[in-house]
Amino acid sequence: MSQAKTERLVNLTMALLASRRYMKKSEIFQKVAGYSGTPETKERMFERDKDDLRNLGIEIEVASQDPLFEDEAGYRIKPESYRFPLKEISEAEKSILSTALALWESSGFEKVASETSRRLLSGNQIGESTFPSLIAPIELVEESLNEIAKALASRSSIEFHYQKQDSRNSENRRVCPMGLSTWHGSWYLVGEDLDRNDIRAFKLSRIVSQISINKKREMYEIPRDFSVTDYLVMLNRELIEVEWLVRKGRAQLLRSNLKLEQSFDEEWDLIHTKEESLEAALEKALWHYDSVILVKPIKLREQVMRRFEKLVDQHE
Amino acid sequence: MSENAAERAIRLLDLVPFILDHQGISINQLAKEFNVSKEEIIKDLNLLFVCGLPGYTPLELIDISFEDELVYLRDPQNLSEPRTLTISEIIVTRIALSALHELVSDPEKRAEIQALLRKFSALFESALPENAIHVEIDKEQRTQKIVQHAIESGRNLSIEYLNLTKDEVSSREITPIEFVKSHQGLTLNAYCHRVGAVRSFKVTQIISAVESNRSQMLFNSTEQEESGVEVQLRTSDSDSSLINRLVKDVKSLGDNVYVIKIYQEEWLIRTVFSQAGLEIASPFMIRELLRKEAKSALKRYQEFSA
Repeated sequence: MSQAKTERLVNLTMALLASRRYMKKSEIFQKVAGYSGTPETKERMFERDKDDLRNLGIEIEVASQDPLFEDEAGYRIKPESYRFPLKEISEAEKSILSTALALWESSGFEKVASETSRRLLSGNQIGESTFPSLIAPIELVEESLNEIAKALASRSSIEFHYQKQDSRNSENRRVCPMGLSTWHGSWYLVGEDLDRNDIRAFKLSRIVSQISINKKREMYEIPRDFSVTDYLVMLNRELIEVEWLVRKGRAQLLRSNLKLEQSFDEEWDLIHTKEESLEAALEKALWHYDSVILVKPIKLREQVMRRFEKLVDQHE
Repeated sequence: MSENAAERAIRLLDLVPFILDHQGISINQLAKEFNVSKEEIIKDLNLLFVCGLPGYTPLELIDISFEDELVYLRDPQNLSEPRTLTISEIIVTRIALSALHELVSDPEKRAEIQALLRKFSALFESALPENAIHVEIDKEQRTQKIVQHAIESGRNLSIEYLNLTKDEVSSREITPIEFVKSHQGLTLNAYCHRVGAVRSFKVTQIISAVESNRSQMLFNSTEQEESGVEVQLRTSDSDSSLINRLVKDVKSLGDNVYVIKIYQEEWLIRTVFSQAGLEIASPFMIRELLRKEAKSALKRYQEFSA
């Protein structure tokens, strides 16, 4: 039974992939090997086959508005959506991908990583990582990632119980997932909360139930310019832009996280950093009193100078 | 978990381009690559043999043969190229590339990884917009994880450490011992092979840590008690919490004056500069040094502002 179904699914995929136009159901039943029984049986078989293939990531396109088909829907699999654009990836890039995928070693994601590697790199040996496995500590469990990924693929909503911070009870949430982000070692799901009509962020570790996926597909769209970080407050703190002159080879702390660095003259480099607060910037300027000049903001520079004046006075 | 018919169909679809790329691969190797038993692969191949395109004459079937345990594919029909990645696989790959980007320190390599990440995201843009996934590996957690691994496996680490007091980055070989949580954050106690003694390292100041293959060296306790210098500090108000935050052993002399022991003059100077409300009361030499440093810093700023 299941052997026959496997065979039928392979035949169906190949037929839909080979067809240049959308195939009507009647055409599929007639041409693709494996569909038999009453019209209702065939209908049920096909509906299940279609869902099964879609659930495993094969995109089947439907054209129901095509005037050629009157009221009957047509189906096809576009070659460009079925095939991996392997030619686009160079050998050098493959080697980077192989090193990257090896990071998943002993993380619970080895299976996905080796599947990916087999299709991308034509071999599932993800190799031994030269770095200690690092992805494991970020709280991401395969099950929730898979469920969210499936929902993202079909643009279906999901439902789960969510326990808010400082709350002992969980509540039911219905969300259209739009993106995923890490922050300080935790994962966040960003999506449209259907009951609150708003885009919200959910910490994955606070999802306390299984995630169930709505059977409906194409329920929403993710705008091309959607950016998950726009919805994470902690990533959108107002940072202060600070301009410094830094003695060459000094003030390593400022250099570790900078946006721009250029040589100013023989003695100094000009750099820009983003600081958490004015106080933090002031403290850095004072700690590195002998190796930096805080250039901008000017008000902050004046504050630094007042502190120097005070120190001179105090120690006179 | 038992496999369903659809999952098996996916494997069959994947077998075709894989064999095409590995003509003459052995059945054993194929079973290994696809993580199933040899019997399972033979069943799969026998089934593929009867799959094909509508018409299903020999011309339209997948033409596969296996002789002496070696598998050859003569006609893949329209399955010559591998199936595209699923969203899970796209996400997993993007996370891996982002993580690698943060692990590598060589700027050229980093740029290559960044470019590939962008290209890869663009390839799957319609499935998932580039900015729908954001990955940053927490640096402190990452260092902690590497160090923990080294402690557990008894290995040494080569670290680059930012010494804030001396404002320098040094490379050292250390044997990590334990983590200590303190009011100043997480610190690592480790035997430093450069100074031949146990030292504390602030985890946030460890810029990079790589396990070295050298076996653990035995420590010889050659460490000598450093003598230290007694300093009197005056605070601007009676709140002693600032002093207590800075040093462990504090003696109060009354009148907001405290005696502390310091081991590095530079540390004291920088601390008094950056923490408002501290004054060095004695010794005079250090007090005078601070005044001079503040004066020349002020002069530098004045000249720059002018």
